[in-house]
Amino acid sequence: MAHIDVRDLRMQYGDQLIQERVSFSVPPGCIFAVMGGSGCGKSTLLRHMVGLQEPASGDVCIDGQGYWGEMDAAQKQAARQRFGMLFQKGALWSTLSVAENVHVPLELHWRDRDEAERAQRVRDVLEWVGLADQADAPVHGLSGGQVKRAGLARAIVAEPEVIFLDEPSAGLDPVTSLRMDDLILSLRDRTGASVVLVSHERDSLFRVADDSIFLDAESRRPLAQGRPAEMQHDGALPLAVRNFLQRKDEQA
Amino acid sequence: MNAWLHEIGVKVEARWRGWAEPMGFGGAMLITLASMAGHRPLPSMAQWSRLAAQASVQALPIVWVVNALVGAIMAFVGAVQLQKFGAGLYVADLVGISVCREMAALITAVVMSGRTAAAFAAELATMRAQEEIDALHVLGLEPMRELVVPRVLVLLGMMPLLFFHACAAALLGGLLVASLMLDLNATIYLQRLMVATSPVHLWLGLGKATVFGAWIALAGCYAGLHAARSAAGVGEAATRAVVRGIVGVIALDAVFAVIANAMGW
Repeated sequence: MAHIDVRDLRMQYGDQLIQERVSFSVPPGCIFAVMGGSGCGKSTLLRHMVGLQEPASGDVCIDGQGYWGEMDAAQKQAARQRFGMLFQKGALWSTLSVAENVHVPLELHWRDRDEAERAQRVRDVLEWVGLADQADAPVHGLSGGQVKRAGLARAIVAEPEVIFLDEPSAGLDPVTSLRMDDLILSLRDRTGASVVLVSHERDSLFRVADDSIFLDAESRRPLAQGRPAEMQHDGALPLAVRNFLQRKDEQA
Repeated sequence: MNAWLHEIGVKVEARWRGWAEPMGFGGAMLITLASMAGHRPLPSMAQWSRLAAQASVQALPIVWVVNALVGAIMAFVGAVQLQKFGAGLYVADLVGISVCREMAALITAVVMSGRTAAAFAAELATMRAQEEIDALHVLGLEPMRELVVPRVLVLLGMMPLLFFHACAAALLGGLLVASLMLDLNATIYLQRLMVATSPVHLWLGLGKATVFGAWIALAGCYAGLHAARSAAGVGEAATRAVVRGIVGVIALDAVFAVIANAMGW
């Protein structure tokens, strides 16, 4: 299983600084949360970690090897094959059905298995996320929660070592959100994969996260790191973090 | 003065990049195509069918209507002038040569730029806005291979078929006007067509249609993949695809004219 180290990352859009001095570790089997208010760079951090956007400086190391600074194209490709990602809006390919969406990663990563095995795996994963009856449905007919679950199915189907989840509970009703949390916990327990999740859903963070980092939009630096459920009662933490965790400030 | 010149230089460079980058995009597409042996791109059979239908059957009515009208207009203008010299019979020559050699491919390409290039651009721009392109990258799939190559191949395959339909429509439009204005019957019209047009004209038109098809697909895909991630970006991508498609097609047509002249075709 992969060990991820984010080392002194500086994130920019052009000349605009998003965050700097971002460093943390995600050991195998850990559910790591990236927290912070809107616009603090949570999703941007995820894009740097999965290889979609190059940082201004710093690196993301996978088992000690820097993705941006030390890997060639083939190594980057191999590294990405160890990742699965659920995008904020699901990002399902709209021209394919639900089952076809989930099948695509297997065509790439399960080339040595026969088609019957791949098809069975798709059925199993769709069953697990509760979408077995929607397998042949076009994705434009799915509800928001179903899109998220189909996206999760696609992210995990090829059994990746690290799963990145961008706002998995955002926009979901409390019951569906709770179900998504259960899926994340069960996923980690079943596969031993690490999970990096971006969220500002406080209740969800307390339930699932083993470790976390808080990104501050104002100072553009991380303000705190630790287990969210424990950080909640830590009076020594900066006010912005306590406000966020105790939901005292609507802006947080 | 210096700042003014600098501003002009920056704008010219930006304009040049706007045209040069799609050409580099075409080169990258060719390299990708060459490396694709044994690889099945992302679209399923149903998706290939959808793309093919979008670029053929669904475009047929407009291709027929526009080309029939163009053939009729050419025959009308030709008939008015040729009648003055008692040479109305030669309207079939005029329509036949200009349609097969020039107008069928050009008009069809303009129609497809407005229709299919815009559709490709809007679809890919929406995929970009919805992070579907990012999802491909994370999996290690190349958008060029999964999205661009299939669209270029589809249009490469369909444009020659549309070209033949366009020729038929324009020649029929010409026949209709010739028979109404000049009392030319269909047999004589067809006989003059057979005498006046040679396979070279048809091959030249077919070659143009194929190249135009590739350009239109590339213009649409390039605009879509480089769109801003917003609803406004989708509209801008479609507009850019149509403008680049049409201007590029006319520029390519000029290149074809020079080559054909130099080769004596």
